[in-house]
Amino acid sequence: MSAKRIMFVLRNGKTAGPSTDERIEVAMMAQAFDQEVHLAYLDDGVFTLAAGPDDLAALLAKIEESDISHIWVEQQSLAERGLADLVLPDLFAVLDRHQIIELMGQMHMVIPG
Amino acid sequence: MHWRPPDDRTVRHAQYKETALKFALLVLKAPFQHQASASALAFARASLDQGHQLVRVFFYEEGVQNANRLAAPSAPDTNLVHLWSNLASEQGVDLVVCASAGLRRGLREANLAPGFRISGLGQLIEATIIADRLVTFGG
Amino acid sequence: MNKPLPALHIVNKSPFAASSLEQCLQRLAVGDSLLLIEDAVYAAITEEIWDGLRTQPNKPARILALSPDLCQRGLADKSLAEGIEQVDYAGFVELVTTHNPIHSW
Repeated sequence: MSAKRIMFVLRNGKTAGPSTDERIEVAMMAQAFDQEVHLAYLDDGVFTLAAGPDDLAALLAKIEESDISHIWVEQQSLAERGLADLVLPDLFAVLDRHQIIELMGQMHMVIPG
Repeated sequence: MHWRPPDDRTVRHAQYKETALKFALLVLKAPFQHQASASALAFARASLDQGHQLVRVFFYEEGVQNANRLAAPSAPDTNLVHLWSNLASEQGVDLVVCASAGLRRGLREANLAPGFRISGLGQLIEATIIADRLVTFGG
Repeated sequence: MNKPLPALHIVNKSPFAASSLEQCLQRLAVGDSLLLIEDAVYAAITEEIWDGLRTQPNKPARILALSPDLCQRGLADKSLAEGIEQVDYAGFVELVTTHNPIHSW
């Protein structure tokens, strides 16, 4: 069976509970099952990327460890939140909303987080 | 080997064979916190009624609370924990609770309701791979 | 493996309490449909919510509201905003069979 394209749509900021980590864990698990995993940071999800260098480094380490290579950040979500100038690691590709919509249309499954 | 009549589910599947799909459900919210659990349960019943196959219902994040048999709301017909257990016993639906998400929230074998099982996150991914559709409740 | 089906977007929050309906509407592809469940059915009885949408090129092919959730909130007899259909759980299941992916917001 060929791999499924699964997009994890991350639309929430960092929370106090375990949920923030759990959303990444499920994506890492899908990658471990050799599925084509996409992470999409939209809306308040972009705040998790602006939570500070330590948080971002920890997230990057997890992503690199799991070999997830399709990571998208919506430019409009950044701009709406005053984060247009946020410096992100190379692994994170900033896309226009239309490009995000086009990618979403190519997915077999979308999992919100 | 003696011939045995097919059970209800087999008959229904046979009836709808042409269009039957495999569904997987993901429940992310606790039963008495949010309507997501009730919505997922109603969807599960309706999908079985139409002859579709329910590969698995996976309970993750706060959704693990759906499997807590110590929950005791005053009106029994609103006890979603019981209603999920009934679905498992009547229809053989596989109800899986994420082990690590459960551990973080105090859900373990000792307070696991009948019909649920505790397993790894891999069970969600496996269901996603097998299923034609994944429907998330409580996103 | 090309995806031949449009997506079904499901919103479950009141548009007066959360931005998810608006955020969902910003990400529709042509041909996608929208299902309002749980507290999102409040949007179905509110004409003003949809005013800006009528002129957008990417408006949903169909907008549906889950009838048991309308009933539960005492909204069964209210008239729905123009173009919004009611659907029960059997109809919800049918929508899932004719769309993919199923995108909950």
